Amino acid sequence: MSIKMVNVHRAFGEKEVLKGFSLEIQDGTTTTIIGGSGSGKSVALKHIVGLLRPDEGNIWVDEDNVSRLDQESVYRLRQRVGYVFQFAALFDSMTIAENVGLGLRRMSDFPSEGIPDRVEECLHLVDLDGYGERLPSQLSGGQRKRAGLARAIATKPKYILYDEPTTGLDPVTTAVIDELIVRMSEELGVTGVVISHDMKSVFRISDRVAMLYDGVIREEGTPDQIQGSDDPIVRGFIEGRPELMEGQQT
Amino acid sequence: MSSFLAPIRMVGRGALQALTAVGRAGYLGTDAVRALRKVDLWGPHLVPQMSRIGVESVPIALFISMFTGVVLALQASYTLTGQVPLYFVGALVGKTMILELGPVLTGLALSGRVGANIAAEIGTMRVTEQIDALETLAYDPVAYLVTPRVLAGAIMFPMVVILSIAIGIAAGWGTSMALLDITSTEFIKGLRLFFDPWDIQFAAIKSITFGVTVTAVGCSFGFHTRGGAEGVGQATTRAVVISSMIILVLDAFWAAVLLS
Amino acid sequence: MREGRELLVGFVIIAAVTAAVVGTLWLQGSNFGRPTTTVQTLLASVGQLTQGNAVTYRGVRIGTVEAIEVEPGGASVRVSLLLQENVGLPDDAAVVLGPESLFGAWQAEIVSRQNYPRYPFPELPAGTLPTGPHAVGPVIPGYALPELSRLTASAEEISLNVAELSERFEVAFNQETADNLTSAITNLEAITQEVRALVQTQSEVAGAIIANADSTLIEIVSAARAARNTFTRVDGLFEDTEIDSIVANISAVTADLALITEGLSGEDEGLAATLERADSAFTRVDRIAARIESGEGSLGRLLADSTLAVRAEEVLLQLDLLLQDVRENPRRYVRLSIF
Ligand SMILES: Nc1ncnc2c1ncn2[C@@H]1O[C@H](COP(=O)(O)OP(=O)(O)OP(=O)(O)O)[C@@H](O)[C@H]1O
Ligand SMILES: [Mg+2]
Repeated sequence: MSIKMVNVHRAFGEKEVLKGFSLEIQDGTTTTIIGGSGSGKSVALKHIVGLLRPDEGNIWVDEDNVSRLDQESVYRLRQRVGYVFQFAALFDSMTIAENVGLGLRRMSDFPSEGIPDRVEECLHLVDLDGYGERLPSQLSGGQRKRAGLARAIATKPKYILYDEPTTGLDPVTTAVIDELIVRMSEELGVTGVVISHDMKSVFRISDRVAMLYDGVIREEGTPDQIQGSDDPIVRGFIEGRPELMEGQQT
Repeated sequence: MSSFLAPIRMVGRGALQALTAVGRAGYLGTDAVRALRKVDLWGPHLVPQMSRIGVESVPIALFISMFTGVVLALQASYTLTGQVPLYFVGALVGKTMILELGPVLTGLALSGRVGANIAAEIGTMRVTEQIDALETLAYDPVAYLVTPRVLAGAIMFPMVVILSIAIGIAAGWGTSMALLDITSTEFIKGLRLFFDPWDIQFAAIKSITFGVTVTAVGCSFGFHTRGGAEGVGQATTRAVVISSMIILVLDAFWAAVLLS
Repeated sequence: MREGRELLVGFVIIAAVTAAVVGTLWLQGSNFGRPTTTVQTLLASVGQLTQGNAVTYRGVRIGTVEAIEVEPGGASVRVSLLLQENVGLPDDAAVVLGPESLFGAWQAEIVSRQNYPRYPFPELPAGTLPTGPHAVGPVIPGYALPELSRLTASAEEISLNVAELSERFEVAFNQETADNLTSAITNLEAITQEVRALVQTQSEVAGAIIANADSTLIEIVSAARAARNTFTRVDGLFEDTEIDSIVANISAVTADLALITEGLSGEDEGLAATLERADSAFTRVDRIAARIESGEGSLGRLLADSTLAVRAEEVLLQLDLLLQDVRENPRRYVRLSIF
C-alpha cells in the first residue's frame, strides 16, 4: 500500500507543468517534495486526491487508480486522505470549529456527539485552543494555516498531504508544526507528503526528499543523500546558490 | 487581422462566449438535479438559501414592482383617451403586471442581486481553493453549493414574483384612485375583464425557469472563475449579463410556446 | 437565528401562495364559499358568451356562467349559471344574453319574461329537467341578442321603407293629414336619431361589420336620395284628385309599416323602445289613411304647412350624416382590440 505516481503529464493550455512526473511514497514514511516556486509541486499534490486529472500517466493510491475512478469512488478515497492547503482554504462563512468538524460530519462511522471533543483536541494540537468560535477572517495568516492543518488531521486519515504547512510561520511555531508532522507519522503511522521550502524543516521531518525540477523528479533519496548530492541543480537549490544551477538545463 | 474585421470578430467571440456560458450553466444545472439524491448534503442549506435568495429579495422586488404599477396606471390612462373607457387602465395594469412585467422585471432585478451574489461567493470560494477543500473533505461541491441554490431559486422566484405582481397591481390601483379619475369599482371591473387564471400559472412557470437560470448561471460562473479578485469581478459581471440575456430569451420562448 | 430564518421563509411562501390563490379567485369573481345554486337555461345560440362571464339580475352581479354545452340533439345550447343562493328569481324568469360593455365580454342577464314579450324565447316543455354535472335547480328559457350586423340590416330596412313611404306620400293629403304627417315625421326623426345612437353604442362586434356596413350604407344613401326627390315632388301635388288611388296607396303603406314593425321586433332593448315610438308613428299614419278614406279635408291645404317638406328633408339629411360618420370614423364602430 502506497502512493505511486507514474509518468504523469499535465499541461495548462500551452504550459506544460508536469512532464513525466514519477514518484513512489512508501507507507508510513514522510516524503518531502522540494522545488522552485511555480515548478508544479502543488499541481503534483492535487493529482493525488483527484483535484486535477493527469493528461497522461497514472496515480495509484492503495489499489485505486485515481485517474480512472468514478466520482463516488474518488469521494470514498478522499476520506482516507487529508489535505493541508497552501493558503489554508478555510470556509469563511463558518467558524474555525465548524471548519475543523466538517470532515468528521461526513464520516458515517463517527458519532456526531464526539465531534466537539475531537475538534477541540485538533485545535489543541495546532496550538489554537479557544479559537473555535472565531471566523477565519478574525485569524492571522499563520493561525489560519494551522486551522487548515487541524481540519486535515481531524478525520485521522491514513495519508496527509501538506502543502507548505510552515511557510510564513515564526520559528517556534514552525518547530511545533514540524513536531506534529513527525508525531503523526510515528504515533499514528500516517503517510505524509510535504511540500516545503524550509530546508531546516525538510531535513528534520523527512524520511525521503524528492526534488521537482522542470516537470520531473530530478533526484529522490534520503535527506543525507540529497544533502550530499553532486547534481549542481539540487545543490544549487538546497544551498540557495542560483549560480550553480545556471547553464545546467537538461 | 485588419481593423475592419475586428468588430465582426468581437461579435463572434461574444456569441461564442455566451453560448459556452449557457452550455456550462446547463451542464451544472443538470448535475445539480442529479445531485438531488444527496439530500444530506444540500438539505441543511436549503432554508438558508431560500432566505437569502428569496426573502432578502422581497424588498427590492416589491420596490420595483410598486413603481412599475404606478407608472403603468399613469401611462395607461394617458394612452387610453377618447373612445376607450378608463376602466381599461385596470385591465392593462393587471394583464401587463401578471404576464410580463412582474416576472421579467423581478427576474432581471434578481439576476443582479442573486446572480451576482452567488457568482461572487462561489467565485471567491473557487479562487481561494475552498471548493477544492470541500472536495478533499469528500463533499460534492455541486450537491453542497449548487443544488440548494438552484432549488431555492426555483422555489422562491415564483413566490417573490407573485408578491411583486400583487404589489404592482395594488400600486396601480391606488394610483388610479388617487391620481386618475377612476373609481375602485371601475379599476376592478377592468382588472377582471380579461383575467384568466392561466395567466398566474404562466407567470409562475416563467419565474421558476428564471429562478433556475439566475442561480445556475451564477453558480456556473462562480465555479469557472479563474484568477484572483479580478476573476471574481469578471465572473460576477458576466453572470448578470448572461442571465439577464437568458431571461429575455426565455421570456420570448414562453410567450411563443404557452400563449399561442 | 435559524428559527427566525425558517419563519421568514415560511411567511413569504405562505403570503405568496395566499396571494396567488385568493387573487385568482377574487379576479375570477368567486363568491368565496357563500352558498350557491345552479340555474340552467336552454337557448338557440349563446352569441359570444363564454365560461366565467357574469350573470346579472336587475343590473347586479349575482353569479357566473359555469358551463356551456350543446344539447345532445344539437337543437339548442344548455348554459349552466352558478348563482348566489339567496337571490329570489321571478316566476317567469328568462335569460337574455348580450354584451356587457362596449369592449368586454358578454353577460347573462336574468329577466322577467313579461317585460320582454317580443323576444323569441324558446317554449320549454313542462317538466324540462336539468342535466349534467350541474343538475340542480330550475331550467328556464333564454335568448341571445343579435349582434350589430343585424342592427345595421334593420337600419337598412327602415330606410328602404321610409323611401317607399315617401313615394306613396306623393298622392294625397289635407291640412290635418299634413299636421299628422308632420308629427309622424318628427317621430321618424326621433327614430333615426335613436337608431344612430344605438348603432354608436352597440358597436362591439363591428370588426366584421365595416365591409357589411359599407354596402348597406350605400343602399341607404340611394334610398334616402330617392326619398328626397319624392318630397320635392310633393310640392306639385295641389291638383291631384285621384283620391281613390291615394286611399289604396295609403292602405298599402300601412300594411308595409306593419311589416316593418314585425321585421324589426325583438332586435334589442334599445331598439324595442325605438320601435314602440315607431309603432305610434305608424298608428297615426293609419289614422290619416282612415280620414282620407272618409273624404275629410282638402288636399289643397296639404302644403300650407311648408315645414313638412323641410322636416322630411332633415330626416334624410340625418341618415346621410350618420352614413358619412360611419365612413369617416370607422374606428368609432370597430372593436378595439388591445390584447
Ligand atoms: N488551475 C491552473 N490553471 C492554470 N495554470 C495553473 C493552474 N494551477 C497551476 N498552474 C500553473 O502551474 C504552474 C505550477 O503551479 P504550482 O502551484 O504547482 O506551483 P508550486 O510549485 O506549488 O509553486 P509555489 O511553491 O509557489 O507554491 C504555475 O506556473 C501555475 O501558473
Ligand atoms: Mg504551491
